Amino acid sequence: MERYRGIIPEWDLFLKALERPLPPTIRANTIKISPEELKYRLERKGAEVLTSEWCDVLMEVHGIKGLGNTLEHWLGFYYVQEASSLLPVIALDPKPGERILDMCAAPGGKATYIAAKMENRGALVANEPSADRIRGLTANIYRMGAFVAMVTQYDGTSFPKGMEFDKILLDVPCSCEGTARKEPWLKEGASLRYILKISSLQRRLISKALDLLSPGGLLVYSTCTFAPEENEDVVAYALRKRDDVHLEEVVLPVDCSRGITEWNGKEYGEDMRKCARIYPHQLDSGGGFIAKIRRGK
Amino acid sequence: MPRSEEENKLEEMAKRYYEERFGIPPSEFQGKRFIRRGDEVWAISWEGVEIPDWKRIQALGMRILHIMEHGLKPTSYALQFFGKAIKRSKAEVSIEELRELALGHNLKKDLDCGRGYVAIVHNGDVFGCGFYTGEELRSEIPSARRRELLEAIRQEKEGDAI
Repeated sequence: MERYRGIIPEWDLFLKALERPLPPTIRANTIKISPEELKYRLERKGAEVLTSEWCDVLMEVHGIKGLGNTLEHWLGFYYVQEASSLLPVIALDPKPGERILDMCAAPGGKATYIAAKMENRGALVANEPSADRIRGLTANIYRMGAFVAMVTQYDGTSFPKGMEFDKILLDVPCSCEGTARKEPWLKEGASLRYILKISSLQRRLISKALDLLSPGGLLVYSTCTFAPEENEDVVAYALRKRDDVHLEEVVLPVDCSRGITEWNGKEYGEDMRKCARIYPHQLDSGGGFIAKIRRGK
Repeated sequence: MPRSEEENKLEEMAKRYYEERFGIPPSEFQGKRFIRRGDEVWAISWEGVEIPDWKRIQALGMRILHIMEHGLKPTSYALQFFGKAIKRSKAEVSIEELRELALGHNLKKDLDCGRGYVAIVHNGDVFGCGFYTGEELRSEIPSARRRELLEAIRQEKEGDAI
């Protein structure tokens, strides 16, 4: 991570935050239960439940030894999910009736949150290329009761034509440095070789995603990593490649930092400050990056 | 989007089955489209959007019915989803009985419904599909889900709190 010392504010606090365990958080599945009823049920079991101040479906739960092993979880009343993982969906702001694509959807935490925000009405395509991961995705979609979701299995870079989307969530495969609190081996940072390799895939995915967007449509590009090569650099590539897209400000209900305007001699421009960088010392969760790209002048 | 004759028939069949056997009002299916794939009926809440003719579609909303030789069979996920709307053909079980069912054991039960599929209910929550012979109840919950359920029951019985 040392190479990010110059871009991550309050560096020492950031390093300390990486050493702390993640808070145990869940997202109430409003397709099946209200947050209040879920809170009541978990408290009845002896748990301490703290509802987030910025998101009424997000709860920190203490006193349950296996949050993924309760009857309530089995019944699809909640999804074990980090706070940072909700933010790309909040940026996407799904609405009932919209046509939405989650292009890299497994294991389904974001796709099922999108379905809940759509109130299970509209058209959601949850895509995942990997046969192994698609099983978990469909299981979660069924468990959460997401009737609005069609599950497809395509390599995102060759996603078929036949439908244009109002909104696309492109939560790309990445080097996952933002998950270092639960994957300690990532505290050193990912290898630059891997970062450059995966950023090539990310460029192809963002190009394809913009092709699938309807005029006026919104693409949310997100990662769970700090590497500018996978974040601002990929967004800058998409902006350079097309003249019909522009960045929109990512406004989040949590503390975050802005996208960086230069890295290793590359200038990205002031506009990149419209993107958001999520750091674990600012939001007690995982880290990541979010950009909003609108198709249209 | 105009619906095909087949789609209309599937919708009618699904709504009639769930209403007759489980007392679920047809209005619970409002906004859903019904699609047959092989011997399965799927329901997806896509309204006003044409379903694309893609080759690699793995799921179309939720699987809600199996078309069997002997008739229709509901899915556990559908019964769970419509849980509170289910008015009849319910088998109330204790946590210990739920565990027995999840282990694959049959339970002697005297239910006020005839032979056929039932919703397995514990403490007001619908856990899935069962079959009642008139004397015995067995689970029809898929085996992978039953294994997860056993683990959840074990934790429930031990007490969730640390």
